Amino acid sequence: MPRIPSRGSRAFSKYDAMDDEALRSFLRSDASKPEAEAAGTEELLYVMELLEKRRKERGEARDAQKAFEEFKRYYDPRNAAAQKPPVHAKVPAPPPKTGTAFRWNRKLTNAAAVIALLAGCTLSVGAARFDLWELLVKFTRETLYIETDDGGEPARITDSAKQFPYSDFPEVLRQHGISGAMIPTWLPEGFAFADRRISETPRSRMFYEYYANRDKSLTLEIVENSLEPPAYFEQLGSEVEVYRKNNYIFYIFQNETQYQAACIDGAVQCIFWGDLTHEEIVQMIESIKKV
Amino acid sequence: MIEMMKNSGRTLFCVLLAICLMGTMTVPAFAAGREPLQPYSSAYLSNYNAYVYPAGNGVVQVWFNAAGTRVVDCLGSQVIQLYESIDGSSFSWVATFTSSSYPSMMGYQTGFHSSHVTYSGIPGRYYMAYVNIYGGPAQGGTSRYFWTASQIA
Repeated sequence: MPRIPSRGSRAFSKYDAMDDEALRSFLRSDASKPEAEAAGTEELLYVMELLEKRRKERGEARDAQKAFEEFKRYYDPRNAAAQKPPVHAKVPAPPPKTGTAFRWNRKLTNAAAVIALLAGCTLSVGAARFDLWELLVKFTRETLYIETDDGGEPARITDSAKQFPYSDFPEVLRQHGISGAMIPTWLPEGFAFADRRISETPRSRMFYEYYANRDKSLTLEIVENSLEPPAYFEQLGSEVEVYRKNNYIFYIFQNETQYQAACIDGAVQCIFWGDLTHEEIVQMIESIKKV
Repeated sequence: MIEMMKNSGRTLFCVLLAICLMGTMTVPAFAAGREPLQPYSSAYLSNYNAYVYPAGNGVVQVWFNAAGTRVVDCLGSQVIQLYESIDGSSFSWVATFTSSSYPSMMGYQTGFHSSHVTYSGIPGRYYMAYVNIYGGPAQGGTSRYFWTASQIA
């Protein structure tokens, strides 16, 4: 296993005398310090390597999944829910998108890379499960990659706007054998049909309708799939509004300035989003008809 | 001068770390699994997914779909890493696909892009992919990374 460069080892030997909890505490507290007061990357990695060395000396096994869990629990300051602050402590506020958080992005990337190295280059797939509404969250990271010579091919995408000069979405779906899709019959004033895309992959068919109103956009998406996992959705904040329309449950959430609504009915998903107000997206849901 | 040396040291350290990573073909452990972490929002991406599809005779395809919030300059995947396993639990890197080598991975001036890459694998082995989805202008857009489920080729 490659060694982590230890240029600053001597300077950091003060950490050798500290117990594990103190080291973890140091790592956690470093996250909330301003840039000028925070430890450098090498110092951070020295501490993490020290913790890992001790773990090995204790003969504790580690797999990548466990490493990831520990990583989140101890070192990811954004994972506030997973951390258990003392009773008297204030729950930390969500970190800003700049400054400390940005610095930690780099540190987390490096730290996680170390964990990956120390974890023995393996991965666990135990967590590969799919729950649409758990998937409303993402994790952004940098990665390293190596070029290969394998070929790539585009999906079969049909721009059928020429075939269907004006939007008749229900008719288009029927022509493609899609039944039971939920489609809003009301659109906010000013939006006009702009484009349509249909894509087929081995496990799904996707129908997109684009509407435009000057610089505003609105997209309707119908997805028919068999075994394809549901999509990841971009979402602002953590709140998802549940809106019931007849027997269907729609989930309404925000993505930056846009509102999105999504509903799954069997193998067919109905999703729409755009530059809409909350009232407008609710009105669209209220106008839903099954076609 | 001291500051310059400090910066050089950090740069060297990062390069060495990168070499270590590439040499051992490790993957970032933090990305293992679809974990409910902090939600993110994007001015460019709306939703996306990807999966590994066994096309038969050991051939595997990694399919992905990306929908933008609106028509954006670039939409698709910048990089897909493919991992292989004999037992379905320990995976090793086998291939990387980038949009610079496979232009069809990225769509331009579009609100939706779907594509796939193909790899000649070994029948009976497991494959999973680490997929990047990118949306926005050529620089400064939104990047997301996630794992697919594993599939037997």
